[in-house]
Amino acid sequence: METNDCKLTICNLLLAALLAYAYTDSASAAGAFVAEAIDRAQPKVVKIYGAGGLRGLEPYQTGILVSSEGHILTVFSHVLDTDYITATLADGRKFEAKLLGADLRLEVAVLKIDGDDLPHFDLRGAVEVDAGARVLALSNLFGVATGNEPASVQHGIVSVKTRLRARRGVFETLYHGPVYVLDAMTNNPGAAGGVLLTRRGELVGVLGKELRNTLNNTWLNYALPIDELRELVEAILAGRFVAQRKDEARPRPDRSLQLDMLGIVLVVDVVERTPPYVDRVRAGSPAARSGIRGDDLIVLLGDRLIQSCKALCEELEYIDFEDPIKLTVLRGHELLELTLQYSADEEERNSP
Amino acid sequence: MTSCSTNIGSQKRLAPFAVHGVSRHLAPLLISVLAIPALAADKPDLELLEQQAFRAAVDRVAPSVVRIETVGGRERVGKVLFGAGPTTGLVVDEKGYIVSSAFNFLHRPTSILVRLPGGLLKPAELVATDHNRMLVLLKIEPEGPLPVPEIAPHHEMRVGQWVIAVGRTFEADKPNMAVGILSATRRVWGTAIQTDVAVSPNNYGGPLVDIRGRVLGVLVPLSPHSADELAGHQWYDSGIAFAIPAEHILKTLPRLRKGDLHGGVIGVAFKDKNLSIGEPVIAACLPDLPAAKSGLKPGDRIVELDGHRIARIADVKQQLHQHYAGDRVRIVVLRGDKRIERQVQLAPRPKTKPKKVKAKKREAKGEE
Repeated sequence: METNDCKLTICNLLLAALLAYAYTDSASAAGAFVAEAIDRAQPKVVKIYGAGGLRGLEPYQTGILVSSEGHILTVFSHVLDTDYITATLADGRKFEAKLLGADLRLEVAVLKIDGDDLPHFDLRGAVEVDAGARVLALSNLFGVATGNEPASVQHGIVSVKTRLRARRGVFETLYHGPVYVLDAMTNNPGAAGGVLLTRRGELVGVLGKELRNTLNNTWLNYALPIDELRELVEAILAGRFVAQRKDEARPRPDRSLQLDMLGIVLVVDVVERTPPYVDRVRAGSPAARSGIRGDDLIVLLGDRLIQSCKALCEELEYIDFEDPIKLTVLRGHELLELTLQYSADEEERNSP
Repeated sequence: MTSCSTNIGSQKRLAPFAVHGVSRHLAPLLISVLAIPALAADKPDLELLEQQAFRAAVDRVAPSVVRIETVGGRERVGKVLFGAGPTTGLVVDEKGYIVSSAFNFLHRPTSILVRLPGGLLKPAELVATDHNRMLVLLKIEPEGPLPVPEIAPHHEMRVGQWVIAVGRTFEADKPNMAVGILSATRRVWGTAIQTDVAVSPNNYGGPLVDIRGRVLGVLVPLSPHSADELAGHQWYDSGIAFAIPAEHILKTLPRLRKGDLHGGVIGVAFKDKNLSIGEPVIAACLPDLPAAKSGLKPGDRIVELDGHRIARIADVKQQLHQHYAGDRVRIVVLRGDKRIERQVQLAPRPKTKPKKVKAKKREAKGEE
């Protein structure tokens, strides 16, 4: 029994020692990862100064060096709308910067300063991260850093990877690709063009411009994944850049479908968000054949949620008049999915 | 000992010297610890492990987090512009009861639709509103039992613990998450817990969970300074956010199913307007309200409510907030040296009218 007790005590001591060792070692290691990552990244982040200063528009933003010869990736904004742009490195060196190219669709730009052997991010080394990933954001938000002061560092997690949708100006931006939404207040004046890193310092994305999510009237904190920008930056670096115009709008058919063609009469559209209730259905129309009735509330067109009379009419403009459509209606407590199709024959029948 | 030796037998390669005479409970523990030196050499990244835990916690609660869509409704409430975007709700009963933030319905939508995590869309009915805690109860008719999340008991909450806010507003098929810590456990007159997580319309109505994915509460905008329906919204994403404890929600669920719940008042005004230092001496009993009806008089000093000692006006407010209109509470007052005890039934808190002039609003502060 005695030896057993002795062994137990030894075991306990051993256990405590091991735990303590493992814990302190890993905790300090984790802290060190972050500090090292920031130290490595800071010399690659630049403070950009240009146009602005009027009507509350800040005359500064952030950028990152992406080549040893001084190519800088940043967002395309009013700050770059001048002949005199400067970039200040973390060590205080100030350079005049030239705008090499910009993509209005991605809302990013590449600047060039005269330098060599500059520390820079390798776009090919960028990583993709999942929701929940801990991230660092380095930027000159609110222009807090000046001269040889390095950028401000924030931390947070990736809230979700989503797409900025093109629908009816939900987001007031021309960029409609994937973004990382963040749970930290990163996208403030001057932060655009800053860098998003993993806690180990791997390159993840570039902070976007300030953006309001009109779906719920909140400010969005987000970064554009490097994957989305790499091709463009490489094209500019290689001198193959062709200026891109605004993204083409969603294609509309030559002749769009109209409610009248389907035989649906909605209730009178009186307020901004009049719910799309069917007032009545014209006898013999596609709507009547599908089984739609008065008092049905139209809630989905295809997969798209329809929240008002206005929204329904707008959505129909993107549908060819001869294409079949699926409408989901709420009747009492039941959702019904109905298919409607207009045919040209009908027109002859209806025309006087 | 049999189970112990088989256990160790399978691990012999790792721990050849730890086989004999070790108690059954310690043996597995020891074996797991012996693996640590190897890990430590690779510098195990605690932050990475935490990150994995955040994710696992969200995955655990996600099947109970639904997306809410609305049709119609007002464009603005007061001065706040309302978007028509999706909001979040939490399943609280397998039969189709879903709790959400009352804020998500202030624009009074014509119709409410709930999209379950699997993608199924269901029409929902707004059953009732808890006006005291700014929650709503929705009901859908599910095809089968809905997954009800595990609840974290209130007594296990510790200020400083990791918490994760979960919403389903950006994508229907994946939740959005935010991480922070628990800032306080008794806030807004004891009705809410507080967190520094980024909370906004992106996750109002969604759960605040612990690192194990257990629900601590449901996220709502609140303010200790106002009972207005929009109160607290101005603090979105600010580091000040609130959730109504899940334990309370489950406890009041049977009542909420039957209809709206309102905050309760006894109907007295106090002379002192400063809640924290003001003495709970009744200045006036408002007509037709419980205090007046039970015979309380100006000059009476409230000393006890529901068995709790009362020293300041704030104590009265705190105690009454634990109840709803219709509840009976025991009130003890001192009239001179005489101790008077009454049972009163709380009346619904009169609606705050945002259009009231400032002076009047201030006056209302001292009322309970």
